[in-house]
Amino acid sequence: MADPILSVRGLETFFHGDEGIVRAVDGASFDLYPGRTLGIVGESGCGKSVTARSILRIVERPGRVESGSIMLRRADGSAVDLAQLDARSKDMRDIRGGEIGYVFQEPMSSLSAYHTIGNQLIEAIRLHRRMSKQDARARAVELLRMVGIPRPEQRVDSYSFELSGGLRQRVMIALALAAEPRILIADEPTTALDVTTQAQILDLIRRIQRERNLAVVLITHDMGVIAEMADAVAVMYLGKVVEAGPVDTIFHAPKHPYTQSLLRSIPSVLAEPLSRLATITGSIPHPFARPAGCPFHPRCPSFVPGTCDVGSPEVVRLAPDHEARCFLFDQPRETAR
Amino acid sequence: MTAATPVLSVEGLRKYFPIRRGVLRRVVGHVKAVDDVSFSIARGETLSLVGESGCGKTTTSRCILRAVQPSAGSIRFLAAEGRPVDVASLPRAELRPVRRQMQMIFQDPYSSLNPRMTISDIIGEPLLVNGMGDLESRRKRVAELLDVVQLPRAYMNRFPHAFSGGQRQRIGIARALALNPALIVADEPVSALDVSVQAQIINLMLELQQRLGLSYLFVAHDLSVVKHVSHRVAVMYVGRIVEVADTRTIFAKPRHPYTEALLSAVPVPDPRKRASRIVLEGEVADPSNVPAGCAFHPRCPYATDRCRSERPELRDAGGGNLVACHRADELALRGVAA
Repeated sequence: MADPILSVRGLETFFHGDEGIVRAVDGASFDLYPGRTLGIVGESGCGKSVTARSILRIVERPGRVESGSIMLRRADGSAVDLAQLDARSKDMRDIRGGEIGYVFQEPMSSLSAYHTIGNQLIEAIRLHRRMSKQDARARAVELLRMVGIPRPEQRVDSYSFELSGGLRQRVMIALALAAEPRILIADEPTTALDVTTQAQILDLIRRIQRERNLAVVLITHDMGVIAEMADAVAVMYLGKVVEAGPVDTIFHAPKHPYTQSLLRSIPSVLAEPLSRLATITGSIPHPFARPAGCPFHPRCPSFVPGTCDVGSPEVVRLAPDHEARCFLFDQPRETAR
Repeated sequence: MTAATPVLSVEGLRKYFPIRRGVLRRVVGHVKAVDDVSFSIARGETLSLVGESGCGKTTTSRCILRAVQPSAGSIRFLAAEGRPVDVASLPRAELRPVRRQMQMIFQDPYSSLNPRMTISDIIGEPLLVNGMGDLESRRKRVAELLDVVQLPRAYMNRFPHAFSGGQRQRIGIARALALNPALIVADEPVSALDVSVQAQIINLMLELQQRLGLSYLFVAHDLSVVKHVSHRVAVMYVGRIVEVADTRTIFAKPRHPYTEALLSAVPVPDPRKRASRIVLEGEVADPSNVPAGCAFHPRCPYATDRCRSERPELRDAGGGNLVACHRADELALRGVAA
C-alpha cells in the first residue's frame, strides 16, 4: 500500500473544566490512505468527533490538543505535523478546507441562513483559489451538479432553509470539496437523514472518492454504515482506540470484548422478529467519572479483577494490520505471572 | 397472537392541516398529513408504523392519543371495562378515563422529564393527576414501577439530571406504565440512545409486553429496530399506508416497491453483504400537492401509465396482509435475506 496521507500517533485532546480534566481523546493512533475509507466508530462520549476536530485544529476551548502527532503528507510531498501548528496560522487555515474537507453532522446549523448557498460556496472557493467572482460562481454551479443537486443553476441562489435535509447535506459535501481537498472527514454525515436519503449520500461519497482518489474518514455510531463504507475501522471507547483493523476482521473476527459486545447488541434487519438482543451491562460512564484501569472494565464480560481495574492496557498487535488494547492479549505479562 | 377484538381499530383516519395565505388567512389548500389510514392492533401485539420523515406516522400516533384532533375517521379503543369508545369523536371531558389506558413513551429522554421534579414525582404524577391513592400508596406504586423497569428503588428521590439516557428512558417507561395502560404509543423510543443502551430498552419493552399483555404502536424509522420488536409492520408513504404485513413476510417478501426500496436502503452490519442497493431518486412527495395516481409513481422504478393516473387502493395480499400497488401480483420484489 502507498504511504499514508495522514498519520495520527498518540493523540491526546483534553478539556480543562472547573470540575476537572476530561480526557476526550486519550491516545488515539491511526493511518489514512488515499482512496481508502477509515471508519471511526463508537458511542457517545468516545471521542470520535473530538478526534476529527483535533485533526483540523478546531477543538473549542477549554479543549486543547495536549500531545501526539498528526502528520499530514502535503500535496507538494512535504510533511507537516498539524499538532505543532498554531491553530490560527496561515498554514493551518490553508490546510483546513484546502487539503482536508470537513462535513459536519448538522447541515441545518452548519450552513448560514443569511447567505445563499452559492455565496457560501463562492467564499469557500475564493478562500483557497485565486479566481474571479464569475468564475467562482460557475465553479459553484459545477460543484452543485457534481453532488447531484437538480437544477444547480437555479439552486445556487437559494438559501439553505429552502432545501430538504438531503439536499443540505449535499451542499455541505460540495462546500467541503470546494477547494479540492485530498482528505474528506465526514462526521455523522447521515445521522439526521432518512434511510433512503442516507443511501443516496453514502453513494455520493463513494462516487466522489472513486473519482478523486479521496482519503475519507467516516465518523459514525452506526455499525451498518461502517460495514457498507469502510476499508479499515477504528473502534473507540472513552477516548481510546480499543481495536483497529480491516473491516472484515472487525466484523468477523473481532478480538476486543467491547467490539464483540457492541456487534452482538446491534439490532439487525436480518434478525428473528421479537428476539431479544444481547446487551452490554451498565451505561457509558460520565466524563468526570471515568473508571480507573481499562475504561471498559466495569462493563466487560471478560473482566479480570486485579488487572483490568488497575493498569491501563497497551496496544497489542495481533496481526500486521490488526491491533487491540486489552490485557487478554498481553502475552508477556500473562506468562510472567 | 391475534385476539378476537382488537384493542385499537382505526378506520379512515384523516388529518388535514389547512394552509392559509393572504391578509384574510384564506385556506388555499391542505397538507394531507394523514389521508385515509386504517389499521388495528390486537391485545399483546406490536404494530410498527414506518416511513420517511413527513410520511404522517407521528401525526397518526398523535391522533390516536387525541393530541391532535383528527379531521375525519374513527379510532375505536377497547378500554378495560369492555366498552369500545371512539376516541376521535369523544367529548374532551370524557377523554381522561380513556387516556389512562393509552400512554406514550417519548423519543427524547432528555426533554421529556421535568428537571425540577424527582423521579418519584415524575413516575407518580399520572396517579396524582387521576386522583389515585394517597401519598403513601403512590410511593409504594412508584417503588414497584422502578422494580419493573429495573432501576434501584434508592433512585426515587433523585432528579433526572443524575441519570443517563437509557436510565431516563426507563423512567419514561415507568411513568407510562403507572396507570396500567392497555396500549402504549412509542414514538421513536430508542433512536436517541446509544447502541449498547438501545438493546437494553428494546429487551425491556419486549419483556413488559409479555408480562403485562401490552399492545404497542411503535413509530420508528429504523427498520432494524422494527424487525426486533414488531408482530406486524405498516409502511406509510405521504399520509397513506401502502403495505401492511406480518414482520417476517414484509422483510422477506415485500409486495410494494416502496417497501422494497426502504429495505434495500438499510445498511446491513456485515461487510460481506454489501448489496447493490436500490437508490431512490428524488424526494418524498409534498403532502400538500400529492402526485396524481399512486403517490409513489415519480420515484417508482416499476411505474406504468396506470400508476400515473389511477390511485391503487389497499387490497388483500394473502394471509391477512394488505398492499396498495397495481402491480403487486406481477412484480417479484427483493426483501432482505436472513
